[in-house]
Amino acid sequence: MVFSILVLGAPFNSQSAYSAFRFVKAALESEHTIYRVFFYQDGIHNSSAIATPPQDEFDLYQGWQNLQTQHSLDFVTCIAAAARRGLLNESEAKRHNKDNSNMAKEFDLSGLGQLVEATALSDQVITFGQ
Amino acid sequence: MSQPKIQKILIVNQSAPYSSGSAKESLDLALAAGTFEQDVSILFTGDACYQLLTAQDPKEVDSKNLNQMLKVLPIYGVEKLFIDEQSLLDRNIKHIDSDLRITKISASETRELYQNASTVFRF
Amino acid sequence: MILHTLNKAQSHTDLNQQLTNTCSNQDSVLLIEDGVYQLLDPTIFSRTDHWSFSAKNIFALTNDATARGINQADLEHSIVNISFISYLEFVELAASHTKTISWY
Repeated sequence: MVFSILVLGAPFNSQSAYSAFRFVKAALESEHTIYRVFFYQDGIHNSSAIATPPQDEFDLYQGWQNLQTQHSLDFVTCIAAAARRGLLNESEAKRHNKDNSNMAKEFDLSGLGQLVEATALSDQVITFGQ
Repeated sequence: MSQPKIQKILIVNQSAPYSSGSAKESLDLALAAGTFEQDVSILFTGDACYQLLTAQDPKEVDSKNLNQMLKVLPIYGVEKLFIDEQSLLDRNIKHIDSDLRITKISASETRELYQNASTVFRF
Repeated sequence: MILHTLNKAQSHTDLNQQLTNTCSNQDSVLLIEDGVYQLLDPTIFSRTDHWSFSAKNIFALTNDATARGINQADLEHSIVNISFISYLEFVELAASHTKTISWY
């Protein structure tokens, strides 16, 4: 089965992002395909490069980054939802004349068309919302 | 991998406008799906009924007029707009914007919408 | 056959009502996150106005239940049709349904 996942919640604010992470891991273990993980609304915060949970807490940000690297997954963060919430990659930061960027390299910034495409090309899209 | 198919996408709105970004971010998805020529239906239910009140003037809270923005949906090929009647009754809403061609549906028609969709997004 | 996931406790009456209105007798419901708290009140599962009345099968995510101190052994006797599953089984459950609708 080909799944795409829609993540709408930020780490810590709700458990939804963590549930999505566990689902993706389990799907990969079971040899299903994860076509794309799309981060929208507050889910964009999962793509932060600098969010720093306390040392003794689970680091979901690191979790996503490791997962992406290990499995070459397609992680897409919605560019509009990210910008309005203060998450920019290098080129967006330059484009908007901001001093810093803060997005992890494991995530691509793109539009909602990527979510629509994922919907068309996957067997199912599963949403993890708050 | 599966072959691309025209998806019957159901977008369910249940949020009031202006107090959260959900109404706007739902509309953005609807417009994207319309642009990519998917078969999109939008269901307004619960507090999303408030999106359809006339005479909104959100400039008062420095917001863009969501009601007006909904009117561009047909230009993007999104014309299947539904509102569940009970939600209107529960909220004592007697008039909704008639420029938006929205069909009032019953509980069983709502259930059918959910059953027939290939993918459901909820905002 | 739809898989519905529900992540809220019974106090979220509007959300539970929406699921009740939508769930058909071919569908399954999976309780995740705070949804598992509904299991602490078996009386709601026998009410005709609760989604459990329509759902064909009810599942709960073991990890979320154990995390919250919900004892599976107790519940398997008081609620009919409930199965506790792992994340791996969640994936298979989703794969075996035509689509998944998330209620949150």
